[in-house]
Amino acid sequence: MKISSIVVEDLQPAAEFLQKFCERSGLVSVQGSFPDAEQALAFLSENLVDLIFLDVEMPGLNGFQMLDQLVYQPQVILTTSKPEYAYDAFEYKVTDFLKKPFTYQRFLDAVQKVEKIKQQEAESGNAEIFIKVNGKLVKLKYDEILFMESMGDYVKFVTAEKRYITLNTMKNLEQKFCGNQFCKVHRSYIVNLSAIDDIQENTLYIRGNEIPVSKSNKASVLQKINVL
Amino acid sequence: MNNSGVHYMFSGRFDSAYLSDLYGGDLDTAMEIFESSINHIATELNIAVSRFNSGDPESLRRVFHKMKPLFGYVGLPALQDYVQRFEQRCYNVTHIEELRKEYEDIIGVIGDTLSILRQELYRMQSFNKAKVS
Repeated sequence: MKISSIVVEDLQPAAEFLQKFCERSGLVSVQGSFPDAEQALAFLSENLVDLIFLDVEMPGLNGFQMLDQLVYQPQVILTTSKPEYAYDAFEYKVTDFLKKPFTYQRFLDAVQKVEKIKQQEAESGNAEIFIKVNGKLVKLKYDEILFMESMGDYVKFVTAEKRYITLNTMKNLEQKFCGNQFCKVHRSYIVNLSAIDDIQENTLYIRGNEIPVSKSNKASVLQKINVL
Repeated sequence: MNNSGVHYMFSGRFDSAYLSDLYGGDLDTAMEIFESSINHIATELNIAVSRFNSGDPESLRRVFHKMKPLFGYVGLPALQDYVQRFEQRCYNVTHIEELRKEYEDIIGVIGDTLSILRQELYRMQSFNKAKVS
């Protein structure tokens, strides 16, 4: 599963350079590139990403002011040509700090740190996500989510307590969730593997909910669960 | 630097080892970033002139801050350091006139550098064309 990211950088060659590295690595997908913090904040209010590559000095809000305005904080790699920002970077608990221009190897080291943290969060069950419901952002822990169901342009998140409907696509969620803990079982369903109660033929059950398993996905589902 | 096993040698004034660290063997990417950097340096240079004339050291500093890493992307890290020092000088003055001499020097150096960069880009493009044909 690739790390989803955005680039916030007012210097176009630096943004291009970074995007080339992301492509070359095959580890990071860039969902958007923005020349200022305001445009990035607008994007982040509607979209979820794992990582922000963030410049500090930009027109308008600087990178740290942008972080102050985020409702949820993805991991951050600061990209700046000024090493003096290292102390602030530490204060903001950013994942890494790249001084421009940086080498491909240095970029890879930073991305691997992001991957490692992401994996640790997923394994510890502490990972969480904010989804936009009725104009507000609601926090869900990964462990709370039983499954997600596509509803056209919307997706339903089902927990033991509640159901939340949010504007999003399965494709986006697949990229975001599918890995160790979650698995796509049908074109309209992604399930939390640890929530599955039983599987019969081409149907699985989670707390009384009947979920179809498509033929094309069945093998990968069986591979991921612990079958004796 | 090579594409398809054919090596491109940068001119002596460029830091080839540094460029090799940045681009590996990817000459196409190097050409793209050179071209884009040249355009931006030229634009920022014009902005620097107008900021100096407006008399505000802080707005002049911001232009050089933005321009600074571009010299790294084109394999001129020593020039990047020079710009860094000028940026720091802009912090330390209250009147723009205190910077005049250094400002004129750096504008001259960057102007000359732009010519060198354009020549190098042309060399790269010619090399690439010859290799393809």
